[in-house]
Amino acid sequence: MIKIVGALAVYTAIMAILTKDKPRRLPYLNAMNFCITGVIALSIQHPLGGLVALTYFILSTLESNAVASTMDRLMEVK
Amino acid sequence: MIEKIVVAAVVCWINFVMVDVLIGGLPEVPGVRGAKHIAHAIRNYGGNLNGGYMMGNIVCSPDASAGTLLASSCYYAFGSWEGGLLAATVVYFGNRICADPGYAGTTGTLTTTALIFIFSHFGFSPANFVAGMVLAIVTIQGLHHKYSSKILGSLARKMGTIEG
Repeated sequence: MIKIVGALAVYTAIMAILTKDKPRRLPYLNAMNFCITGVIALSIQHPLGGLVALTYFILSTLESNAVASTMDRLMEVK
Repeated sequence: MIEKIVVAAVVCWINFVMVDVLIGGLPEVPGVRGAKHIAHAIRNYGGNLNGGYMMGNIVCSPDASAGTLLASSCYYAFGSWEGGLLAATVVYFGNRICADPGYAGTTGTLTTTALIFIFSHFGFSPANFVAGMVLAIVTIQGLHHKYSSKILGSLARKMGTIEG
């Protein structure tokens, strides 16, 4: 099961690199973060593994939020 | 094993799209600032603007899709429904940190915890739901933005949350 999730993570990462349109890279990166959270959660069945998955996902979303709103602000300046 | 993952993916897809569209109202307005920018990029690519708003909201804030994944991860990690409650608390604070006023994430986490509890009586493990949710989000965010945004837009229109 972890191999399927890992393969999807690699696929979304490659798609994020190949996409030329910058704002459209973010949904691919978001899907990649979902996959990595899945890999973290599936790799160890322990409450701490769950906490690591939670922390990784919430902070990665915060990061996507920051990147997207910075892009929006840069567009306004232009 | 594969068939269980596919069934879990379908359940997760229906769960998070329903909660996002009906409770969160994600396709109506960009809840956070960056979502609007992503939605316009998807529209310029040939997609639907309202579907783009929903995809942008999923990127920028932990909504029901994040709730579904984190509930299944924590259910798996803790081995009981208490993990789902912890995930709901963390998703609630995650929403507030991302300046999102909605409750779609928390609701999605609680509905998923209930769904996994029900499905665990039919031989489904929470790990199936983790893999299923990853598969479900890749069909929305990772395959083809033009078609996925159109599907989300037309679903929201059929459910009556947006006009036109």
